Amino acid sequence: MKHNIRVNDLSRSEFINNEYDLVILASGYEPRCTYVASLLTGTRITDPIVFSYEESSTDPAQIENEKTLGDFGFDQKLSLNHNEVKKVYQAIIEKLKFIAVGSEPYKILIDYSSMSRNWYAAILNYLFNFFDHTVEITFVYSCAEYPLNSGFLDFELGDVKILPGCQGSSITKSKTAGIFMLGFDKIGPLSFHNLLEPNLTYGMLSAPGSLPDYEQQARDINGQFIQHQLNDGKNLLCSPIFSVSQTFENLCQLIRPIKEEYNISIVQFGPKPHLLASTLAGISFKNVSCIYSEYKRSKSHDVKASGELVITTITINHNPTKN
Amino acid sequence: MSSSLKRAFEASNARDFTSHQLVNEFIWTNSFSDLLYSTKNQMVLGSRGSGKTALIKMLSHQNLRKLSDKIISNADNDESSQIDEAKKIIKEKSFIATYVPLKVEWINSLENYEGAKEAYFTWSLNLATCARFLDTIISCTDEYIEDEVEATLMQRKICKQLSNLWTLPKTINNFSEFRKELENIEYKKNLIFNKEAMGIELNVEEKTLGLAFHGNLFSPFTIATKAISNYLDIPDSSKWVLCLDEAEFLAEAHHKILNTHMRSANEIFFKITTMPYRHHTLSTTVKAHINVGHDLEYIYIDKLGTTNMNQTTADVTIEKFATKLFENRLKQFNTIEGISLEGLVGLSKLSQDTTELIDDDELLGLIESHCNPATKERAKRLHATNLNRFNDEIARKLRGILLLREEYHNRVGSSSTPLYSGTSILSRCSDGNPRRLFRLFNHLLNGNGKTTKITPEIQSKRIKSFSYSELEVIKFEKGGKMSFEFLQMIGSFFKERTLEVKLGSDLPQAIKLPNSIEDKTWEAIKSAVDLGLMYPVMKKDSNHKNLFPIKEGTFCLANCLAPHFNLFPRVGKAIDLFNVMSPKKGNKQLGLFSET
Amino acid sequence: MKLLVISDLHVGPKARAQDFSTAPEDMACRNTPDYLNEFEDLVDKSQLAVTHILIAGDITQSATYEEFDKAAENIQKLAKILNVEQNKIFFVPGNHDGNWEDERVSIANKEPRTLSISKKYSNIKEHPFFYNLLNNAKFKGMFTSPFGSIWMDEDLVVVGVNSSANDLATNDLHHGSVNLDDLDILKSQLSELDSSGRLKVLITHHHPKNYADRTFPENDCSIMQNADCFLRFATENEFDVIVHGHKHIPRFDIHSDANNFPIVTLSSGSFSASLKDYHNGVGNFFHIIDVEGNCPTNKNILGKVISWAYFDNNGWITADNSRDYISHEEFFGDVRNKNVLKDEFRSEIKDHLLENDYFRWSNFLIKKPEMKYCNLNLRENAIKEICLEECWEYCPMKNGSDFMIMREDLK
Repeated sequence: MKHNIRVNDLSRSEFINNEYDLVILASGYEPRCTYVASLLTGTRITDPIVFSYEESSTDPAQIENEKTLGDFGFDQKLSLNHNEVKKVYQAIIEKLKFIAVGSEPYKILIDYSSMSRNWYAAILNYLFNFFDHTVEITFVYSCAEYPLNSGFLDFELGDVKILPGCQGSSITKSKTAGIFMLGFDKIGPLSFHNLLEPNLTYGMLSAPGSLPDYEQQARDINGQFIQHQLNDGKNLLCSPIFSVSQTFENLCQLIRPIKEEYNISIVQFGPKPHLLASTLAGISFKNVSCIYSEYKRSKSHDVKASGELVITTITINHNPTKN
Repeated sequence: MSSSLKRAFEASNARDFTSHQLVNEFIWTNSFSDLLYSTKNQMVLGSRGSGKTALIKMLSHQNLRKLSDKIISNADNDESSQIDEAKKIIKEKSFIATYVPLKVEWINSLENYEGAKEAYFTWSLNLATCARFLDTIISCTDEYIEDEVEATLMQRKICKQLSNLWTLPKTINNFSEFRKELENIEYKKNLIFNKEAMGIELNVEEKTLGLAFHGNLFSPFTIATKAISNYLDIPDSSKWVLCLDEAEFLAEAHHKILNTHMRSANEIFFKITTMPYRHHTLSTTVKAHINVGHDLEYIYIDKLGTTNMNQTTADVTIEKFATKLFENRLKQFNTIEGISLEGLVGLSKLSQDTTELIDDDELLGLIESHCNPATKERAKRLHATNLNRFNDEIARKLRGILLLREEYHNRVGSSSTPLYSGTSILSRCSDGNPRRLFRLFNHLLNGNGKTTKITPEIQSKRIKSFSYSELEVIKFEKGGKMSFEFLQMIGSFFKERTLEVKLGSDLPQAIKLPNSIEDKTWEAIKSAVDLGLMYPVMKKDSNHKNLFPIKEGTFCLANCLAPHFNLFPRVGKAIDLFNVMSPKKGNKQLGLFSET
Repeated sequence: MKLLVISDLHVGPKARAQDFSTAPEDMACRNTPDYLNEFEDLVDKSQLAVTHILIAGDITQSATYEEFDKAAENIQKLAKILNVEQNKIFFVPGNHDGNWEDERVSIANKEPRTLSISKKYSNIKEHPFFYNLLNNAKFKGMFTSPFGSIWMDEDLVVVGVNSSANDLATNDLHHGSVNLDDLDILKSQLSELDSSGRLKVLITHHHPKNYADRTFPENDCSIMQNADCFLRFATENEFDVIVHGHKHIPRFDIHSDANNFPIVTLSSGSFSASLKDYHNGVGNFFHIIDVEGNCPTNKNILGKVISWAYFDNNGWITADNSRDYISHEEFFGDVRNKNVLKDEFRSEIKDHLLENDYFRWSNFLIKKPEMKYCNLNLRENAIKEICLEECWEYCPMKNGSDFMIMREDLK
């Protein structure tokens, strides 16, 4: 069995100085949508494209963002719904149709700061399972300051969804292990715990978080869950927000010893770099499922880039075999 | 209090135990007997945490076996005869059930495959039933074949035959490899489903992978049961049962498919669990509906199936259950000895039906302070002329409520009431819901306490915190905000009636739905029922087409909410919902003159 | 005799556990506060008993005195848990156990090579614990030519070869090396000792063998220079066991060459380094080489290597071949090749099937208990091949290690 997904953290300068065959950005109403594009003005990009949220296509903030992105050279646009993956598959298959097997690794850059997780999961699904050429994907996340006020924390859970390519082996494995990625949602993890009824429960917390007090806030918000469901914290693991490779490694450490007996369901809350790490686990392990619920917030929030970046490169070798 | 005792009821603790935990803690109820002995397909309805999963898991061959082998030290007669019953069933091979959980991971993943959702649902469910059937086969061979060599030879025969019947890519001769092969097929087929969703053309091999599972729903399972019957000498009269758990994830289309096959699959019996209002439809994919009473029978297990009993019997049943559950859990710990529930929490002042606590004179005094004129007058009259009727119609009904009120009005500062305490009140506040009981016990035991007895004041404090947490959780369920607000409103209304408004002898504590109820209110009620925070007052005939009232009928608050709203845990008289939602002017005040 | 093998502790800022770390707040070790406690629990629960401890290098991360001190503390605690006395603990330094800063400065000052090497080892040399361990040796030469030490007690001879001495801080690849002349010196020192009847162990840090990289398909450039001489040294001097570390991947094998002397070769996993960045969830390991006796015919040792793996939140669990590329128990001692084994199995099974419907392995083991020391992989291959050749069916039994063989057409 071969491991063939290599996850490395990258520095800011390396990321800006690289050349990319394909760059995919997302455009929504968040101000930070344009931040990464603004850093890339001097970078060589062969094929730039923007995935644009159809749901908010008339939002003035989004229109403004798209204009700015256009000014930065991102004028190719694909408009799609946040959970539409067929269009993503079609777009990526089209782009990669003529890549010759055996030549240099194909380099992709994805800014997933405001991107629907369905989209980048679909891309990873295709590249990992159905594409024969070596690819190097650089994922960039621009950190933001979240207004942790009651308005922001006032949300309702929506439908339960499974990430494309991450359905795991829940049909044939009789036991379930849950890994709950904890964020600022107090009741979500508990709702999912009631839904999944796992035989084994682990939790993962972002520590350190993107701001100094985020770790403690997350611990407080999830206090009950940590105490009651995570055996008073014994089953809680900490992973830094700034390193997807460390987080992925921590997940592998949890997953490897139990993957013969259990189907592992990763419940996705928490910061986006952790979502990326867990999506990678869902894609690269046969029996890992990624589950989430979409929040319904009563109003949109102003999420600006703080300037910090989390940059990760994922190398997928050809002839993939899943773990 | 020892730390083992404190953590004994932690949710996470359940997983530390061996696979015998279910059997060790299982309590055989009437509902279980119903499930074992019925000759029909059954739909098990119960709110979350009511014990549906435990019930149907227990039906499986491997768990009945474990039950039949259970050794108990101080068995009561009931428990011994139950174990004997399990032994008999296993020995006679009369009931062989396979437990299949319907997991949200694969059911909801079907949403990712546009256009082929139903075909995939059938394929996936077939694979799930066959994968779990393997567990049943292993349990049967372990039980009915002692000799290791013979067991291996039988394993070989069975696996080879199943490889053939289920069109596996290769012939396998042992269970372990068989299981791996099924896992492999799941993985490969998922890739194929994904490929199709991407619009990539499939080759012939890919289209025919797991062909057997593309057949009619449940037919791979049924065929396999026939093969096993042959090999293991299972009599024709045996019941092959398929237990599908948590059908609440299923959409209406899925239910239709299930219903269709339930109707036509004569050789298997189905036991399906779901929440009260999540059995979406009785319709099928063919013209005819599924027939309740004929094709299907309902079993309602909330309140431990006591909804058809009178209140006293129901209370006693639930109390016995709670005590047993408590003791069974503690038995798992060697370090905890000799602690009984009654020893820990004592008796309940609030529900004691005797004059020990408060004599007739004191009672009449309370009636004088708190009741409305009509009731006061009737009480005095009956007390003078017909003591029996006085006890029956006034004292029994009002004693507890009066104590609550008296204590409420005379409370000084931040002292807490001692009234929500004792075995009987605690049991009532669990509503007979096992998972709720565990949460309640956990709340009770957590906190500082040095002795093995918890004072009534501390019990009340902890149970109030438990009560609020039960309510709060609903907020974050899908659509839960509405339910939360609705329950708050109902609860506050009854609180006011109980504590402020002058009492009549029939205090309302249930709502009756009007003919035209708003959709969103009805949604809120359904969610509350599914989550066990409201209970319908049931129709007598449990096989009526709609077991649960639809937009009509009477509903009461769960008893677990009583401590939070300062109510007496009981089902009271029903009052029109309209009156609750837009109360008459003046009722809102702390009026002294309002009518009942 | 039971030898505990640990390697690549990397005590320092990147250790995987807080009690092994000099930076306990680092994300690498935050999730594991008390590693030794968990180790002790395993020892108690599994009743592990051990007679000697071998440490195959990279004891520290950057060879500071503080790190050696912490390492010493932990090793002593470990030894106490296992009731092993200090004179039964043997080690070699790894490439991380030489202080590269000191070495770089010395090289920059154009000092003689031997002086640079000596300087890089000043911390370990000065530390009383490690000093004492080395002082127990019959021949002491770990930090100067011949860069090796020889210990001997009533049961064991241990030769430690310092493959890291010439692995300079300024090198690009850290493959280590051994020098032919140094090996000759060690050989002659060894010949002066009467090692008869004792188990002979050769321990070094770097790889004398090139292992397939299971993680990424890149060339493994970390095999030591002059590896074949090292291995020839091992077989000529009839060592029973070779132990090494360095790459943090556990591997079991038998090495043999023209001298026809099979040697149990163990590449030890890392005991306590935090293994991030490139392994996709490789665990930490320790091993026990359990020598049960000697083959009456060929005199080579019989026994097994038992391996345990550690993962975050799962703690110590038995190693598993499909996950770790080393089984929990790897038997050694039966030196017959596949063809010889096939012939033996074939005739045995054929005879048996003349009169019986099936052949059962556990019955065969009762008849020929020495079969236990047959390498599992080898045996499985042999059995599978003869089954194919003779149209027999291989049928595993419920208890994993036993199996049956019958004719394919048996009803």
